Amino acid sequence: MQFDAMAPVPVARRHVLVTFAMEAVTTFAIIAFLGAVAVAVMGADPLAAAAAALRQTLAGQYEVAGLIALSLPLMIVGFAAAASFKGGFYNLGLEGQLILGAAIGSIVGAHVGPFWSPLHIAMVLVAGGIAGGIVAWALSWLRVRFGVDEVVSTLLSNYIVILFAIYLATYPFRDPTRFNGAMHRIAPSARMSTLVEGTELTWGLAIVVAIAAVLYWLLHRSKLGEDWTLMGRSPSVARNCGIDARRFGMLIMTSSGFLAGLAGAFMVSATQHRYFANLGLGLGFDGILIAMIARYRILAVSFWALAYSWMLLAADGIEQEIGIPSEFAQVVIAIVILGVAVRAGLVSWIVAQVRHLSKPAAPLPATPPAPPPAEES
Amino acid sequence: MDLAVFLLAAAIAYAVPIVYAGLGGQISLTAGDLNIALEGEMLAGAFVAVLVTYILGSPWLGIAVAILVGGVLGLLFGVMIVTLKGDVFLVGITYNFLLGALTVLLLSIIFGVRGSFSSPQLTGIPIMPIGPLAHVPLLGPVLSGQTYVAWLVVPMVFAWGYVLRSTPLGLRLRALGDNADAVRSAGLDVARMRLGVQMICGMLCGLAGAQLALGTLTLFSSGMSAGRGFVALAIVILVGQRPWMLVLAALLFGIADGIGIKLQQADVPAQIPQMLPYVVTLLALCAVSARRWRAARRDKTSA
Repeated sequence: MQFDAMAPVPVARRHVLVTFAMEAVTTFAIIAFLGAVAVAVMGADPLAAAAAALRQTLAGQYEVAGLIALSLPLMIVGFAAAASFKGGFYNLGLEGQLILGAAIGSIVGAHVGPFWSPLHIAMVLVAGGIAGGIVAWALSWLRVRFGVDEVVSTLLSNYIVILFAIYLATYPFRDPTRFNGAMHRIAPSARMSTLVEGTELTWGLAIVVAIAAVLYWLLHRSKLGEDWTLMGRSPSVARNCGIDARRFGMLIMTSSGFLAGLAGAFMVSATQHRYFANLGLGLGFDGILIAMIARYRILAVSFWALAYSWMLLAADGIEQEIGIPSEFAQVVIAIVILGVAVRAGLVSWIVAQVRHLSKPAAPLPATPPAPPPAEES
Repeated sequence: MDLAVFLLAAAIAYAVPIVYAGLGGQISLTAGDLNIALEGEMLAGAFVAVLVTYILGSPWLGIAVAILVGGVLGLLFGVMIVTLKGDVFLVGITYNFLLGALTVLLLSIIFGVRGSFSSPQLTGIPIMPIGPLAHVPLLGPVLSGQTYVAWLVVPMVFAWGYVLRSTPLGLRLRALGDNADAVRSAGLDVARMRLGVQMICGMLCGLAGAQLALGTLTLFSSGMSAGRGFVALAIVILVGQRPWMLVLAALLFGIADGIGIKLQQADVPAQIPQMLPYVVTLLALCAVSARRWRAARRDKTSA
């Protein structure tokens, strides 16, 4: 599936797009089916739920604009997850990096400037990105210097970093006119201007498209992307190919943290206009799920971030109109992603069972041969 | 003296769920799987314990069903990583997410509340009477407030230590973690062993969750495991295959948590002390990893 990164041949490219479309349609159909089953199990009419979902999300330009606006930060954090997982590093600290990015971006937006608006927005975004990048850099340094397992260290870092961000919002940078734990509103020059009047959709859309284009080129079309994929598949082969695995690993982690922090700062600049204690909770893990279902391909991440946002909004709509708690959507999504994660094994398991049934007389080996290494990750 | 009593009591309260989840994690890691689903399985255990206790009125039934459900969830996790060969981290992250969302959903459907549920009908795990021991200074006040489940840690750790060191089963588990092929060539069913390990790990996480929700507090709140599963996992990486070190490390982090609570009362910004157990865990992880790293290097240069 990732041949597009290795050999950019036009024929292969069309093929990849067709495959992706089929895959997306199938996955989405499964999600819709499970969602309908869940709605029916909870005693409501799936058709009414579908109508409610469509009404709330796609009825007019305001709904569509709101949907796109919601998906933009998810796309960036999805890129962050895809970048680190594709490179073979499990940065599970995206949540904390995103929230710290939002807090630092909010501080820069409120207490530095005002400047010429594009410059100020860029400063907010870069400051947030650097904040997230520093956290990820420090953790990757611990990994390459002392061998500290990044899965556990990044998971623990979330709690520390989020508490630190809340501390910043509760004490030094608190807006005294607001409830506990909210920072000052950022200056007007640090806010992105609206694209569709009356909605939260801003010119930030252009920024996200630009980021996606650059990342697509870097990760799927360039020599750097080849090395990146190679690191993810086999660090030892990468080392033999002359890649400095330590420095490259730190680059992978740091850029992932930078993107996560940028996603947080983006939320502040585009929609929220300040950091407050609950901002961004859960988004880091949403990004990880999106990257997983997209199997770490940048354009697929964009698509699935949009689809994921649609599902969240649709679930909210169903809750409003029919009264089914919106969390059922997350349950359905998680089940489907589990299915994606075990897909290869599930297929070969079923094949093995069928074969087993079709020739029961054949003496089977008592133990199966060693499993092949998991592909496409 | 009061402070010491407070700190030790807080340490035990914090440590017990972590020790149970950590035992599960240790068994799993001994058998070669670094299980990050501890967090979600523990949360599910907490929810089931509260639900069953509320409906049936007995915390013992709550614990029993929590262990049972934990076992089923652990087995399911095992099927996904062993039978279906899913990546243990990817499946683990998603599993945690799934169980987190599922508990919130069920909380909302069954109890009609968002966030947290508590009720006067909800009885906690009974406290074990310790007789004359209660009059011993320092230890008395600390130990007299502990539940039966908290006390159960002691025989459990003894038993696991014995199984791990001195039985063929322990040897097989260790061999499974070191070299699964060797175990396979010895004629054992590796897949079945790993599944069993995951089931036991899930049962321990269910018990950890029950103690978390019905031990010191009697409530369920969404996401109440709050990273304890991850702390348990970090501790397992720290201590390797030493069960008693697991208890000791959990107690040390518990003391850090207790100091945090005390600092909060002393007008320090609340977030800084709340960070304490996580910071201490991370620092300890760095220190131990660095030592192992250096030792590994020394071995390499001397060989």
